[in-house]
Amino acid sequence: MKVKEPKSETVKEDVWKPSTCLQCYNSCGLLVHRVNGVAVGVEGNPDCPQNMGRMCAKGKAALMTLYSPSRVKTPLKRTNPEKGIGVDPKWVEISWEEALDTIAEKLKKVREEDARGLVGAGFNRMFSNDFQFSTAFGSAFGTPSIYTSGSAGYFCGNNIHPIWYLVNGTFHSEPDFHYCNYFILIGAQHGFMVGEDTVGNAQRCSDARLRGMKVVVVDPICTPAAAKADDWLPIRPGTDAAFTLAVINVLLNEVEIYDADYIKKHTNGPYLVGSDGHYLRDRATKKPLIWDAEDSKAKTYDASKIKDFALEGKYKVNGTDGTPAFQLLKEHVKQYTCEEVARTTTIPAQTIRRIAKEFGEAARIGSKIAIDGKELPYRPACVYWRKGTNQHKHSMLTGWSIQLMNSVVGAVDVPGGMCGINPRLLPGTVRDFSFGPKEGPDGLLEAQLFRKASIPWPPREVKRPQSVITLFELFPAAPYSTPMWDLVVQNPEKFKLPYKPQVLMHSWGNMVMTSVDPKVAAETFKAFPFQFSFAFEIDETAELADIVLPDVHYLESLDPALQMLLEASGVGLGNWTFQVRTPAVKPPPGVRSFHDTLLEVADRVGFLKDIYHMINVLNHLKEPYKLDLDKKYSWAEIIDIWAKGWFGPEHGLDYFREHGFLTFPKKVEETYTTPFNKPRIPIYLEHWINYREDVKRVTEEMGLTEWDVSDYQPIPDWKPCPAYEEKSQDYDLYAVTYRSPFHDMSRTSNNIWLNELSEYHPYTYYILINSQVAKKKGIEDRDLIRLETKWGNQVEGRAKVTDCVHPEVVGIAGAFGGHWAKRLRVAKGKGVHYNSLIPTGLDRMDMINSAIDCCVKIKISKVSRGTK
Amino acid sequence: MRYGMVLDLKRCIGCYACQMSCKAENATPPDIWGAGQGLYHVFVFKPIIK
Repeated sequence: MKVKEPKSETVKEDVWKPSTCLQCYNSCGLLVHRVNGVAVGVEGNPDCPQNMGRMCAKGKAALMTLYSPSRVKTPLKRTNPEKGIGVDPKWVEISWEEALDTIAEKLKKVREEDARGLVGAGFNRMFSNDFQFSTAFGSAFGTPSIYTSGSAGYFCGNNIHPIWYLVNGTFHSEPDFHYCNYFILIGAQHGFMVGEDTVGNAQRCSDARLRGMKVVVVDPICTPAAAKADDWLPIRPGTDAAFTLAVINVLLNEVEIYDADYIKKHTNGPYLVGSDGHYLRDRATKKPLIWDAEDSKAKTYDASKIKDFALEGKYKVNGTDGTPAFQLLKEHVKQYTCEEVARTTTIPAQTIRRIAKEFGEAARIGSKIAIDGKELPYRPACVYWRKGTNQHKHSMLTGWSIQLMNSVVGAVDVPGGMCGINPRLLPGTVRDFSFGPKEGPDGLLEAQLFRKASIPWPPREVKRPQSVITLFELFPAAPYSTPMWDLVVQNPEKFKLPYKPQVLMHSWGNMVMTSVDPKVAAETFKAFPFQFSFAFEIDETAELADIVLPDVHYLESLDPALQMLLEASGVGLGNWTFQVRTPAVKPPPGVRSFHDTLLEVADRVGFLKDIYHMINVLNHLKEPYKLDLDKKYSWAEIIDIWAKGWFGPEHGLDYFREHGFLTFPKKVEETYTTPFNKPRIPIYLEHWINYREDVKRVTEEMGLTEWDVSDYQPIPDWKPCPAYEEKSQDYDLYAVTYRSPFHDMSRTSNNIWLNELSEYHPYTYYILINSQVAKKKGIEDRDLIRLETKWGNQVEGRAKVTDCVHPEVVGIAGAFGGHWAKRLRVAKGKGVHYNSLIPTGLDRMDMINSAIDCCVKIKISKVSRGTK
Repeated sequence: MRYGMVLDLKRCIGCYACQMSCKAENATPPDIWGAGQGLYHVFVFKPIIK
């Protein structure tokens, strides 16, 4: 902490205090300038590896949120029993005593009846920063639904995390900007101040572009990333899988650029597959078989003397035909000809061929690079995908198609390719902690992370849902099934939920705006007899609460960002970074922190000791730095013990108050795992055949006959999403959303500076419409237009006539526009709320990862002329 | 008062952090971004496939 001598009588204090940002969940290191107890400036901490001193527009605007006049500073109680959108809750201020008594009484009752009736939902507070605490709270109380419901994951991670667990062995993966030379983004803006590791990756991507990394963006919208790219390929929404399968077809069958050596040694490409789609297995060991081309003999994949793994051909083993999985893939993609796919995607055939060839050549198959004295494979080409590909029915197949592009050129967990974030921690780096990918069944990679996670391999049992409110047992290939919660909470009988949702504990995440049609989302919240919300400002979701508890701003908060960083700090060599967010300023009187409040609630309900126990277990705390179940601790004391337990007695809370973070250098073996005993990864999803049968059987038993299991297929296809199949003349345009680099979900929109920037910006609060289409429809810049779906969902907004959008598409930024909450004085009525157009239902979901299809066909009409 | 900022546009990723930094550093009044000229990042227009 830098301390300056006070300049004058009036300046009693002038310090720079380390803290950690939480405008989004990426936790950049900060230095907060505090004068006389008031924060007057926020800068990036130049020593913190997470952001290297850089900040984004959101973070720089922090003080306008911290000192927002809309802040809630006293507990509030609803007096209007009627709940709903636009219904005044008729808040009255109550004491903390009354608020906590009421909540404790409700929770006691639930815990006695069936603890699963408590559901926790939220984002930043519950999920990202203090994962272990929320989990400890949930386990100690006895409910499994503490972060899985309507929180993180609504529109996040649906088709990425399951794939990265399988391929990289990590929750999260990223392009290696340190070495990548050719970077394709599909429905994503990674490296352009959007997505995980926002600021660190912006710096690394910027450096990479300066040294010549080529960027290709495949997106219906000319996003900020597309605007800066070398190539923008405007694509018809929902056709990404067709594009990537055509690219793979060119790579495997036209230009024949693929990493055969990698596929043989590091994937299940050589495993022999029978006519039923299952592996041929050794009779004795049940291990999958491969064909040794030199010995002309079938052997188990891990036999000691394999001379050459056959990747192509057809072989007879004990009277049964077997084909290498790679051969099946190679044959399968032949149907995706560039000419046919051009009609589907609107990307010209010669462009698809050019991109495929450039990508394949850029991967420099066979090349090596020396890093820190170790020779490693060098594959400086990578394709990356996110939300744009996620939010469609069949999105799991799309994600898998895209990943296969990286897999066939060997650009997986090697310099320049697609790498898992912190896949491995060797003992000795951080105490004796260690984790890393290990060999699972069939010789395939089993992710092993520091924290407990629902990984999709080894195969999970499919059974009747008993636990999480989102029917997680029916999604064996996914790490969570969050978007199911609207359907389940509103129809518990239909989905045979074995308990009743009773109390909703909500914190921060504004799911009424960030999930689906708010009218539907609000019904979910209303279905809970009692909701209490931790809130900073009363947004649309907190407006449905029965009791609101005022929470601290992140610059007033004490919480660890530790777990997050094990999984989401930059790819490549660098540092492990562990942060504890410590308060830069004091909260206003009447405001209490989320953590202290929950500990108090647990004490009143009577499960505080259980929380201590779970914190000890989940964080591997050992004597002498372990919580004593017979003592009582403040939140600060818990953090202190925890930090000392992890990093030694000299690195307790005081260290973090002084420095903000702690780093340890990463080793090459921890960073690039492929050359260092990483097990094989699948290119053929054999176990999905079983999932298809298992899920079908269980859902039929439950009477859910409309549950579609057809996407469980071992080799992916492009399948049209519902919007693609909508052929009506009236509903002729796709509505698509895209992200802004200066907003985070819906929670930054009430910031007066970010609102000002959005108003000033030519696109943010507008509906993007292509200039040729606008001309045909008689729409001019700034006209008020209405978008309407065939289900009657509609939004209105001002038109921005532009060439920066595909002619079949209208674009709306984020989910932060169109706020209606009474107390969000800045945000209210600004911009357009995209999610208002999105219906939900089993027919509009990806039934493998539960993603809700987030693209709809709309009818456009002019409401009134715009004023210039 | 006129403000100036030196930027390497080859590094620009269009994130608007420069504008917000100017705002935060100089506490400029509403609707003043940069030197009254607007420092905003201009989207690069690319031809659309017909």
